[in-house]
Amino acid sequence: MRAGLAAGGGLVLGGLLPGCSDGGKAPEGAAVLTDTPRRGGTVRFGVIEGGQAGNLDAHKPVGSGAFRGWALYAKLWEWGLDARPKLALAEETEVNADATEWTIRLHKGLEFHHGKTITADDVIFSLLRLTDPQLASPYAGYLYSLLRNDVKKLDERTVRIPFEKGAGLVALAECWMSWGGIVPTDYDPVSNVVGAGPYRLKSFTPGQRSVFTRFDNYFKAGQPYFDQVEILDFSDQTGRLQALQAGQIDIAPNLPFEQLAFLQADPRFEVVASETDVWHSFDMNLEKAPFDDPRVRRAFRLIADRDELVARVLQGQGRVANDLYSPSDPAFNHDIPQRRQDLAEATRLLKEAGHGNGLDVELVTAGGAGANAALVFAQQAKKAGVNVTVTKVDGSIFTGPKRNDWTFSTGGSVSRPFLLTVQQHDGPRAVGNKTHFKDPRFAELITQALGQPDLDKRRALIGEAQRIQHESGGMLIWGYSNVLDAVSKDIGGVTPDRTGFAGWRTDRIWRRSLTA
Amino acid sequence: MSAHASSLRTVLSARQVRFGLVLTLAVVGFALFGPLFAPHAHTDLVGITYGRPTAGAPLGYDYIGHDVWSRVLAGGVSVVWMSLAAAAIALAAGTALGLLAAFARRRVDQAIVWFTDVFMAFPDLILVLLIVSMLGRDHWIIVLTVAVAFAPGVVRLSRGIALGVVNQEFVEAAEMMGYPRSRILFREILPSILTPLLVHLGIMLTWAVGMLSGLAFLGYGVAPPAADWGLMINENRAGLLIQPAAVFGPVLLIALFALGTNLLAEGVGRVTSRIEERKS
Repeated sequence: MRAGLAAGGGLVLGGLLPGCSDGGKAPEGAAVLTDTPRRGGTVRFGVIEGGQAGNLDAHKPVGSGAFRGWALYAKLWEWGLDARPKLALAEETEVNADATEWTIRLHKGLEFHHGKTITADDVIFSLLRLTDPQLASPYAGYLYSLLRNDVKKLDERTVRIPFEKGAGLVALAECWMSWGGIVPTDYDPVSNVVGAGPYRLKSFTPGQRSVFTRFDNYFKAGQPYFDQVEILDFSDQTGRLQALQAGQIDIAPNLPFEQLAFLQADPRFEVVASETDVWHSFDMNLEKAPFDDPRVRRAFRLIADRDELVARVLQGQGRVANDLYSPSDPAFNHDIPQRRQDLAEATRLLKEAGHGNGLDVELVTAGGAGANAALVFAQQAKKAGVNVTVTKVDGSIFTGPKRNDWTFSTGGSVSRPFLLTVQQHDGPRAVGNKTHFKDPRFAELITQALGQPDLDKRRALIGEAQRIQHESGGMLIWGYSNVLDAVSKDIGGVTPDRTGFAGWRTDRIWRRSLTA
Repeated sequence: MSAHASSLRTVLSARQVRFGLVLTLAVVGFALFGPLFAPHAHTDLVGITYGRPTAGAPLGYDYIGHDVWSRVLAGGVSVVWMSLAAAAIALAAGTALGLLAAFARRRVDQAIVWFTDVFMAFPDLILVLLIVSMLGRDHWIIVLTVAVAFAPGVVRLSRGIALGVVNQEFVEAAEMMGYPRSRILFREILPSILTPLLVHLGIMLTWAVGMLSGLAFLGYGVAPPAADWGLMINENRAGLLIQPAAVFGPVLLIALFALGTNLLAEGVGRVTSRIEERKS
């Protein structure tokens, strides 16, 4: 395993360093900087916490709580750099033949921060806590088909997790890597914040600052590297940028695109750009005119100049999309030809649909990248005789009770595998189906794919489902954006990461010069 | 009439007043006629995002590639007409109520004063934000709300000055001659308290510029893709470090407009109080 090798190197160096670090002579004649991970030092993250609050809950993170969770908690599966699930605390996982049960075995000798061994009881406790209706975690919905009462402990390290037949089975790993922090049975998100992540909690002031120290018995040998991790909350981007320039923080994850050019000009920092599956869309409601007509939907998808949208809205930090999400999913259908702007065909379709004399549409948005995209699209639509009026509403209204009723609105979401995204947005049980896309064949394919453990068979099912989405779905997905992380040159280990979490992986990064 | 003309000349002879007037007229002229000279429509996407100033685009390009110069030229109309309208409506409504209070006294006076006191206790900007977020951001709603927020100050001012006038002989004479109340209010009393009210109008204009730009900045004023100086500051502030012209252009114009109206109002106030002193 690559992580293991790197960690070994780090350990050796760690042993050598105390002797030579003060002498100022690093091995191999290099200056003080090194490209080999080494131990020691402190790192300070600056994260944006708009709400000036946040918590430490493993299963119901609020605001920057999700970020802190990466330091505090370890999971059965974790996000690989390729955005696919990778075994973490789990040593082995297996799906049974009729696709109703996961059997999961933990590694031997795993430990929580407080010294207790991680057992099957803790896994069951964590799973039941996550899906506890009383906790009401927003992520519990992904496990709608979990048979909560029948989760069984087979031995000290093995658990059997049953699901309703043919529903939601294979998405378990994809779900788990996002939120499923394993916590001990005596866990409390306030008074006993214990996990098995790379760092243990030292102090936490909501909305301001949290401090963590290294967990020496972390399950990845040799990792993590820092003695201490500090996470500072900022309420706005400009304040954070100033802190970065003043050297008060070392890493600023999720940098706004506007700050890219500025930071690139500063030799003290490196901006790590990760290509991700973060997608941006315009959502057309199939139940409302004019989008109840497939010709209009098709015309709108042909109106979009995706290259211009990426250039203007994402400032070039992204890629064009083909009205489909999750391109990094191993089952993604790459054979569907990319849709490009075709104003002549769009005008023809609109005329055929009875809108030859022009069409007025209101495009609702909440601000941010979505609002900018809406303005650019409105300009493009003019060329096809469509008058798009952009209406900006308050965020609380946009995502309020009417969130799924807009006729035409901006949308998009984070980088997630296909089956997870479809469950959220346009699948048969999607809670946030803004497009009201309900195709019987599509629903059938998704349900089958969710119950299909074999990747090749699943690829066929998802491939056909994506053809249907591409043909008659309600989303105009125009682009995927990069995630930018600004990192001090003194910090190593932040590398482009398909997940967009490059700047979140507290267990992979280290300080190049311990004297700084 | 000649007395009026001469005092107008005295007022205009003050350097501060002239400077304020020129500045105000210049910005108003820029805002009104600017759109005619814009090289592009204010919604046209013609450059790269946050493109630096070039020969064809003296102020560069903004957050999605509009020409900043065209938007600056087009973005003043809303600020100018809305602040003028808000200040004028506040002045008209406030003066009418203030005069009525001063002239009617007793119950009517008490009621009006009580209402204005309650209104004044409520912070202006919060009141406007509240109403705009409830009723929407149509231009006329914003103008009316700002006017409502400013009116209590006018009521207090006009009532205060009018109280000193209503007891003077010429008013009593007019009353005895049986003139209707409206004539007494607007033909007899109003002209004698007009000067301080006009000064206050200028001050309100400054406030209105600040408040309307602030509203646009906060996202409750003019909606994109329309151009508006306050809105432009908000739109482009993320790029402040790489394309400062997109922010400083509108900032400068708002500042000049506010400065102009303020100098004008204050200058007129100073000069007229000197005239009053000389008369007495």
